[in-house]
Amino acid sequence: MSRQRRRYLLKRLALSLFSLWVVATFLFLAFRLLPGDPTTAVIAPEMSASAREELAAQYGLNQPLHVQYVLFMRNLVTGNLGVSFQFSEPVSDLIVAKLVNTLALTATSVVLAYTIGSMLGAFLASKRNTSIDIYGTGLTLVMYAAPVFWTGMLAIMLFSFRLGWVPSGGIHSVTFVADSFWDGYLSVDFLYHLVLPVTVTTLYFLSVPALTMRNNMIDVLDQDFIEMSRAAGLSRFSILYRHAARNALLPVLHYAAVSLGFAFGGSVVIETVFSWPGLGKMMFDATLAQDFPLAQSTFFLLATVIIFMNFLADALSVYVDPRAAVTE
Amino acid sequence: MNLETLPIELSQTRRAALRRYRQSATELFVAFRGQRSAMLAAGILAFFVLLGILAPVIAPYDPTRTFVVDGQAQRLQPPSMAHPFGTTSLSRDVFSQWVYGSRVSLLVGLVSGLAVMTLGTTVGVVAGYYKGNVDLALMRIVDTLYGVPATPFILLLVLFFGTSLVNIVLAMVLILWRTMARVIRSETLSLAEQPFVKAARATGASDRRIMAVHILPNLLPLIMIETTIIIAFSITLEAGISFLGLGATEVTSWGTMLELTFSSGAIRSAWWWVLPPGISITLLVLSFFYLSRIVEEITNPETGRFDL
Repeated sequence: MSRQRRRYLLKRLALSLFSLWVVATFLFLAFRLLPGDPTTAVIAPEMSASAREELAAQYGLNQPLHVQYVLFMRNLVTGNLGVSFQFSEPVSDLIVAKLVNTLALTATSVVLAYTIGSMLGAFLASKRNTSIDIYGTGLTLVMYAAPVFWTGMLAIMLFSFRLGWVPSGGIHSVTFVADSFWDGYLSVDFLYHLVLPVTVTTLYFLSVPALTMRNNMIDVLDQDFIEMSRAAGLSRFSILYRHAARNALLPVLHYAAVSLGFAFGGSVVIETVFSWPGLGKMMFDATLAQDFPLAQSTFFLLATVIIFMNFLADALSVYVDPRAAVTE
Repeated sequence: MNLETLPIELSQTRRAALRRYRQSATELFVAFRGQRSAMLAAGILAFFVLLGILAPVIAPYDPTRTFVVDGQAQRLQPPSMAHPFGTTSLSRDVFSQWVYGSRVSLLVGLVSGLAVMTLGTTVGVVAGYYKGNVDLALMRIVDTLYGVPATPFILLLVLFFGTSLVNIVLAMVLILWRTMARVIRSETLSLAEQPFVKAARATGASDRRIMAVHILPNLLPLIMIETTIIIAFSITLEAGISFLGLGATEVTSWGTMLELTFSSGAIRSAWWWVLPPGISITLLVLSFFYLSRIVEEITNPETGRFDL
């Protein structure tokens, strides 16, 4: 059994690495097929001619395309991502700080959404076909259908501008000074800025676990062992939340990892609304400013996170349900 | 319409396939009329379609016209008789922009939905039916696409090739067909093992005939469910791209309206400008969700699920 599982996981890992390689190749080609001078992909236009040539040699841009490709891959693997035009700092340093910011927002809301969402789904399933279920499901769908940037705008409109309860954007107050790295994320000021974005995105992410959980619960509740528990005289609460919910929860876990990856992809829009200095916003700003080393690397990092999360989802499902490894 | 008396000469194969499709469609339509939420969703959709088609008649003004009264630009005016939804920070009529905006959302949803449907179904059926190396190669492409972040991907393509509606839809189709292909493939895999497919093969039916006459009609409900969800997703995605300021430059969409409310800081006061586009996107997307659920409920009445 465990050998089968290991083989399955290794295969999935190999496929993930393959996907990463394809994405990297796509980026290499995309940024070199740009109209105009290919050196603009790594060198700021306002540099002096001698500096340009030196850098071009360093990045191998005077080499033929296939040599450049090998260099590009080597730089990517060793984490040498170049220097940002806008900030004149190594891209890797810039990215790490933003990654933490994005993670702080998305991981919090995905965890909250899956906790609250699965409970909500189980509850809706237990009230199946009553008006609570119909309106509850409807409301969940409305939250999913509404564009998250718009609900974010509405929340800012109401809670920041009208009521003045929370700040309208950013991650810290202007006057805030962090004494250490952790201080920046474990302070009241940070939480104060986090409340609104987390609430809005949690409500948005909630729909998938809630509806998945509801569907699974409905399936599980039709099974024989539920009938048995009822015959054995277990209470309704115990049947629902101790026996049925446990079985229905497993597939939801799989989606949690996928959702986190999905949330990273959607971070561009979310972080723009809340002026949240994360990866998505950085990727967008860098692309607009034609800061290609930065844009290229942030895109690659977003893809890496998604691919890793998809792999994690697969790994989770074989541990939760070993049959998955056999049917593949 | 009787297929046997059609003036066009149809081969036996085509006639059989057409009959199967018509049968499924009729069953669907009959069941559809009995559902209240289905009728409501269809009503909302019909409202927006009419709004889009009749835009020049309904909209009182040109959406780009600037209003100046007594030398005073009518900036951010609340709703009034002249401007039922008020005016924008550029002194334009929100109502007219909203009316014309429905065209973009519907067009983007429909075109990208149909394109994804065609591409995804073709790839899915071919991969699921032929299996082996064809399947392996096609599914690797799909796997890789699953690793690509959708919004950033569209952003990159649109920035490289220019911000136009055509480019946005193209970029969207390039990334969105992955779900369709995966879902259709796995259903085709199990359909291809069914006795009726084996029987068809035993009687000497060609691969193309088996796919078109025996497999595809059975996929129809699934294709419809997936397509409606893709349409809904495309509409939100286009709005998001427009919100980032990379929307189509040639027309005003609901997304670009929201972009301007946000970037001009009008969300501080101008609720009349923020609400109509957002509510409309939500309603439109919601009506497609409900349509997909109805198809699911009709074809698989036991569950009554809501899959996203």
